[in-house]
Amino acid sequence: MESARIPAHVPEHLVRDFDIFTFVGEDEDAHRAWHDQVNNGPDLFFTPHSGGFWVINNADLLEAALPDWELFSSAQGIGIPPSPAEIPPMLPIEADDPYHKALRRPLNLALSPKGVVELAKSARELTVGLIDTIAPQGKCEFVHDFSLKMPMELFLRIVDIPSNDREYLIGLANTAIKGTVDQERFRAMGAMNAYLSEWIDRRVALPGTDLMSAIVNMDVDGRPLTKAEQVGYMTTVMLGGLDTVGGMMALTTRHMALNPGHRRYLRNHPDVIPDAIEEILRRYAISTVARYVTRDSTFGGIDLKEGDRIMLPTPLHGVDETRWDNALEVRLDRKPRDHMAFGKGTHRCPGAILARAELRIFLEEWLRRIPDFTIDESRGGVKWETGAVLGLKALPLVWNAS
Amino acid sequence: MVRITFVQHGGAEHEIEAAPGETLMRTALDNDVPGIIGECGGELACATCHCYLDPTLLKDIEPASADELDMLQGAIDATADSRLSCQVLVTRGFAGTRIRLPASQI
Repeated sequence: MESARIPAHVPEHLVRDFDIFTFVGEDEDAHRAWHDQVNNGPDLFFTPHSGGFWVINNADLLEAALPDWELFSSAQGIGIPPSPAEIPPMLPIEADDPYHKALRRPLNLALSPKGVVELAKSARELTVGLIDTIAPQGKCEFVHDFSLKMPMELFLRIVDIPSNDREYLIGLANTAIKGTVDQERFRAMGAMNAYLSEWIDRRVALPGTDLMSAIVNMDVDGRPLTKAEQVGYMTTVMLGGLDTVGGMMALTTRHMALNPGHRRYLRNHPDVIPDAIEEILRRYAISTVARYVTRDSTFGGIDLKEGDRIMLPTPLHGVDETRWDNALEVRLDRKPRDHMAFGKGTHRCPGAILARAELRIFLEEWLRRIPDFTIDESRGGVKWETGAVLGLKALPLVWNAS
Repeated sequence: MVRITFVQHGGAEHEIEAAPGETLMRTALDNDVPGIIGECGGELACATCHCYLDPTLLKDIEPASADELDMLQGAIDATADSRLSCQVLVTRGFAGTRIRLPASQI
């Protein structure tokens, strides 16, 4: 891990030894760790890890920072640490308005309510197919057997790429996001860029009706996208829908494995599933983005300097006791308004409607086929991982298949 | 303030006080009117605040921008009377109007 010197304007009492890739071990519950941190630490602190970052550590500050794209810019990178120059910017997320807004148009339309009606049919077909394979086995390793596979299959359908390369891409995507060595992550990103680049050339030469064709052939500010823009955009679309949805599916499933009352209730009352998903999104949010401070300013009572980098971790929002009462408790009827699992403001997740549909379909179909299941401690139990997107790397499950 | 009525697809009505200058979406959400989601918070990015306005009223107010028309293509069951309520500002002319909501936003 690259370490930075502490800049002169950072007060000593706000420096913490925080590395987002290692701050919890694989046997530790990452949201409980955030719960300890957000309810005991300062609202904003500085870590020398990953090149030096401020870290927001309070729900209200997070909610104020997320939409404030003028103070906290995304155009110089949202990575922790930022990607090297040879990796094209991940668009549209690594861009500021109005360019960002213009770029988002085809994505917004594809992932609109009407777009998702069609995508949800594919999602249900893939979900049912995978569960029907798993259910008779009486056990599975959920992450490998379901939550890494299903979102990747859906992405490949959306962009009309055959699923032969699924395992290769799952490996790359996993390393690109979760790799604990910076160079490993960047190498995986480079390989993914190269893979998508070939498909982009085909879609430019012969556009289809898929999402990749719509994106790579769009105009922005009256000109076509450059190759770097096309590659950066498609990489984001691929990564954006994999790890995030898969991570939420795994955390949802872990919650259901540990809470028989909840899974029985939802099985008998599937109409409550959408409310349950909102509560789970609140309690188990997973994404962290980084931004750049654009001007000297005071934020949360602390002086920031132009050029400072800052992390906006959404996992802390739902576990901040100053924002939610009994924050760790999952109440299926809590109906939380304004959780930050999808962010807020202009950069809010464009895939939110699809993500909710995937989670809803997953719970409906899984609970119908595998109503009772537990975590298989004999196969090592739950393994957590942290990073820009936190999640589970192992979730062995067991149930009675007879 | 002007009194306006939101009419759910099933016929249920919510008559509320709306402040001129406020968006229709914010007005509905602040009054707990069901049937409008407003997923993106008014960024013109999601089409989940879709509503149908009275055609006479529609002619009197600021027309939809090109970007709104673009995004309306993503709404379910859009018609010529459709608007995204995050882009519609309440005016005095809204007094007594009935705003119909679609069967589903998503």
